[in-house]
Amino acid sequence: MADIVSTLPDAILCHILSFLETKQSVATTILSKRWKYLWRSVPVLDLGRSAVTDQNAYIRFIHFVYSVLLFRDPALPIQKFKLIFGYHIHQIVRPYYPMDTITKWVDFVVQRRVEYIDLHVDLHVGTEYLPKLPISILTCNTLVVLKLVCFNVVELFSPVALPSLKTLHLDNIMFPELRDFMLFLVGCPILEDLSTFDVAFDSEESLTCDEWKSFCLTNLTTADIDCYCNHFPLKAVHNVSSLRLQIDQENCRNDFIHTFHNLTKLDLFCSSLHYNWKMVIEVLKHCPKLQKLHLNEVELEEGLWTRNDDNENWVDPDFVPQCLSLHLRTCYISSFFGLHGTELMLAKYILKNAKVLQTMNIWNSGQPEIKQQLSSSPVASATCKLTVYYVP
Amino acid sequence: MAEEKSQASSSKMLTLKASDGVLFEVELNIAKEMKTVQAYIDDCEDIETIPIPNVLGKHLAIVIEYIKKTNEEYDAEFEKQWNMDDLQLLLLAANYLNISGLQECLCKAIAKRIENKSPEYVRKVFNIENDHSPEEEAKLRKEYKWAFEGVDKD
Repeated sequence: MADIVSTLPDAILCHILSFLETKQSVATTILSKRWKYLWRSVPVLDLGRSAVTDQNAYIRFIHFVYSVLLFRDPALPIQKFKLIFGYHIHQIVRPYYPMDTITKWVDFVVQRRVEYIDLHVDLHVGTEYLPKLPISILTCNTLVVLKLVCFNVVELFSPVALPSLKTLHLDNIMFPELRDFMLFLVGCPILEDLSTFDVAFDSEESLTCDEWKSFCLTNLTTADIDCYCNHFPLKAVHNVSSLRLQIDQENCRNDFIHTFHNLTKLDLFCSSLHYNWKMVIEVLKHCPKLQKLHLNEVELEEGLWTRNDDNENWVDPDFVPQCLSLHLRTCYISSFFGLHGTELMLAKYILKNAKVLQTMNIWNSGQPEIKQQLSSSPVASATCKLTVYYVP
Repeated sequence: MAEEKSQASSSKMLTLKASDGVLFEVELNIAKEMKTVQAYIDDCEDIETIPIPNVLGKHLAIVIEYIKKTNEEYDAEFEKQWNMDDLQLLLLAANYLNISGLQECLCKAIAKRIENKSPEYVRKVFNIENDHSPEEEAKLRKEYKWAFEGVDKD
């Protein structure tokens, strides 16, 4: 077949190249004369996963990036900047400090109206030392998507201003205090999708209850919040329709759980359903419209969760959570050990009270007899299909 | 009155004639997704058969199907069915007919097929003739050295 692709307009060819990593799109310069300069009009700087193992490789890499920045069409904005950079801190000696160079690149793309930043710098030294986050990111008014992995957000001297930001994913980020993280969120008024994993704080100081009482991310529809190590005020995300939440009983005091009026889908992670069943019921009481529930039991290090022996025995809640009576259609329970009474009682309670339940799936790692116990338990919904998978 | 009018326009049928003479009867609102066709209609209101001289019947059929069905799931499965030659011809068609959603889908699909492949492979798959002189190519390879490190030999 003839060379069809080269007859397409430049804009289309550049669009194809924009889905490739910059390394490959620059390499198309040798395809033919037609392709020689096309890469310069691609508004994306995607450096993908770049790991360097020695000084020379590092120098070749930064030489390449600077060439790209110099020769690309200067009038063109940079829509997307992605870099996952890994190196061993002792392999690159002074004066070449990668974070200085990377910070310059970030400043450059921020100036060129970048909309999407995905940045991960891995120093291979464990979590003790996290590189400093380039602060120009925090006042980039064109930014729509921000994904950060492994950074230290130092004291914010000027307010965070991210008026266009809709998606924020934070993984392994250190803030001085919880209040600094809240101030960060205040700077993202139109946020729709928030994900936090391993967000930690230098200082143990928790927020005073009143300070953030009325703060809410009103446009937020999806959130993924890790509450194990901190007391993130859940009120801030109470408008979401979909929530993934890692939580411990310890967090559930002083009005911590707010009512999630729009929540239809909940993925709840906690340690030991056996000790946390009361908290699960409490959460359900605060999700009146819940349609889909996924309960996950995770193994946590000691000290990260509280064992409350008072909760060893099941007690029927004083009233049935509204979501069970009216809305819950799907319920999944993973890592069901069923060894202790309360897990089984919780599952039975849901079956007994969820009037519109269609599907109940349980992944059972405990005794196989659990299946029979559940199958013969009273079920409120005539159309409910119960499946118990045995996962030894 | 307004309701009647919209009902009438959505059920109005139009005929599209592909380059090999194959005829397709489509609803007006489907045809309008092709901005080129829309422009044609805007210019000549009474037209009933619109010629599409650059697109084969085979590809026009696929394009029409795409417009009718498109959603995220369909997009993901759509690109898997076609070989590289067809993808390129479909992109040409989508570009001519000016259908932005389909163009986007096809650009992504083509990029996926050449991802991480060597320039030699890309030349082969697109039938690109290398009109660089050996000196020029060597110069480019040196200038952007890092871009040519560690690529798939496939």
